[in-house]
Amino acid sequence: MEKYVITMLGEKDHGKSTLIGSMLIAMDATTGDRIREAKRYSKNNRFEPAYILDSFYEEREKEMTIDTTRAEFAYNKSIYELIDVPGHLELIKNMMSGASNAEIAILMVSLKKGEGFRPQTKRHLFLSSMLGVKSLIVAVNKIDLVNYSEDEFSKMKENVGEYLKKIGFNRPVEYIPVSAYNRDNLISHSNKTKWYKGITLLEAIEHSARRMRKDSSRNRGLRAIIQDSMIDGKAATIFAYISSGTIKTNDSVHIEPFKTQVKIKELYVKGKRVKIAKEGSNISIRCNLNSNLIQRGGIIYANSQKSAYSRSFNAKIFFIHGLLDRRSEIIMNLNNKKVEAIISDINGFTNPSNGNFKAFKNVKIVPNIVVDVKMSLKSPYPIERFSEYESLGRFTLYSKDKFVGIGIVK
Amino acid sequence: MNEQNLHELEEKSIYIMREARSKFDNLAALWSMGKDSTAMLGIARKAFMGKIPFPVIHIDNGIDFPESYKFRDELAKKWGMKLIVAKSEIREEMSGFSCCGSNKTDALKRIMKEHNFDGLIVSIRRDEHGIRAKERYFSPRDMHFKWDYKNQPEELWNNYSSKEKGASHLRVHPLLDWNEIDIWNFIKKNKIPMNPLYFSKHGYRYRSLGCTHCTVPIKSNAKNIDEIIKELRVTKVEERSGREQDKEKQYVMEKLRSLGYM
Repeated sequence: MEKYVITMLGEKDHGKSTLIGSMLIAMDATTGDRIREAKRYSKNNRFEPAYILDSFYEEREKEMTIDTTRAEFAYNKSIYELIDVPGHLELIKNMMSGASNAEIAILMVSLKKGEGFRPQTKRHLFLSSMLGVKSLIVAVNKIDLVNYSEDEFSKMKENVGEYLKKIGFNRPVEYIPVSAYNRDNLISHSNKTKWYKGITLLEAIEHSARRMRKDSSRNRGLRAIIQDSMIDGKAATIFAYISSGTIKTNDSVHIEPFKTQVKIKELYVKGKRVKIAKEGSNISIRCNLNSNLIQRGGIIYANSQKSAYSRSFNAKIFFIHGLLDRRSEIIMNLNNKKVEAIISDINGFTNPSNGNFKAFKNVKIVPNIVVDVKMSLKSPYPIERFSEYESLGRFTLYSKDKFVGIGIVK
Repeated sequence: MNEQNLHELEEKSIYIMREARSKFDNLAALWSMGKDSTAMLGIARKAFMGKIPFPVIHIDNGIDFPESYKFRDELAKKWGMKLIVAKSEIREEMSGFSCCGSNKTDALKRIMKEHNFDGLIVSIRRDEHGIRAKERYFSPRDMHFKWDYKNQPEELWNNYSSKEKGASHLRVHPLLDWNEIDIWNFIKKNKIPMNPLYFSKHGYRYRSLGCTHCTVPIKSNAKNIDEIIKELRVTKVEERSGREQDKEKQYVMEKLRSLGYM
């Protein structure tokens, strides 16, 4: 039994929370008490499945999701965890916090008059690949409000498809006409959309999960990120997380940026001694080493592989707050280590709301655009490309102790 | 049993607890002697080479079950815990909102200040309550222990918040992803000692444990973990249905948590 994490994406009021609420009810994955509670607080005698997720008083009063939450259902020997996120632009920090945990995304886009394919919908799509989404399902929602029209569905499918092409989204995409509220095409085919011959949302989720399973079998070099160490008598224990590859007892490894060689004497996973540990494991390494040399943020490499030391690199950043300039100083949180950096060059930017790239040197970095920059570090640090070692090639940005954006190494 | 899922849940919890030990100068954990916080301590022993490297706090209002006190003392000794018992004074009425909100939270505030704790591990789970489902893994509390739930910090990928200006401490939630059955599977697989109140006696057992004044048992014949899991697979009743403080007023959990409750 495996768990797959799915995030919602899309503009406010396009039906993200409603979809999750409806899925939980349809899959019998919530309790009667929760449904009764949601019913009790629903207004105007119209039951709000979204209230199963939107639990804050403020969320129900304002009829909007303020912060991210999760709920899960089981189906065919897999567990699917759905992450709800807010759609408001001002709450994009909360959206990123939720969506960054998922590899599969469901984009909600509404056919209701006046809603449609909005700039915020596009922004979410653009950000999703930076956040780590690998498979996309587009739920074309509120089909009931356009008389279950095939034409409206096809037009939306074309619109979204064009945009995805423009921004170079090359992952699998599935389009499904749904009514999240009436549960059309969620877990069974709706008899109101007989023209639709494709799969249901539930089937699309299952297909995406199957692809993830294949995807994760890639063989990559060892990268383990050091979290902490503990002195216990004479021996030191290093606590690290294997972000890719495997590590074995008696392996010789080097730890950067400390330029230290270590032989793995004893290796532990979940407190038990093991000979080999794989990707995703939290390991304990016992070795004769002065643990003062080993600090948080260090990276363990196999001796056969060099680390990609770098003082400057190209990156794509999405900025949510304030103003930045060429020469702006900024703090990067890279592998849980804060490093000082400067934006040494600006090469251009993309406005996610239309997807157009503009090569433009003297741009001021304003919120909600994606900027191609060159970053320079105060001291060299191992840098990996996002496309090769995803979790090592992404970072969060801080200015004056405040979270201001995210970035990936190009 | 669901081996792969349980394995991944454990790994994530270990990662979170190691982050916590590394980030804070003075980390502690809350222990109610219930199944969740006891499982959490079991995971901590796996994370830290058989030791629990932080003090364990029991907020004691003097009205816990006798079985719980006995269980506490035995396990604390067996696992070599640094146990801190924070006695709470019962000033307000002894049940529901004012009891949890005032008596328990006050005792917690006092002990946190006394020991200068800047990180506190709390074993809440998302599936317990809609409000708990809104939590971050690392969640700051201000100087008055308030949870600013309308403005929570960012939490991307596996980067968690550190202590920031204006925060008295951060709550750390390593079990957020777990559900009730996962907890029982973990307890069974790892032979974690358990509070006897969870197992059926004369047709009743406790599904969720608080103090004697506001916890009621459920009808159940589940005498062992397998039977409990079997029972949970079919039940449609909320886990905390026997806990008075969750339902006495509208949005009471939201109010309790925003004021510093667990």
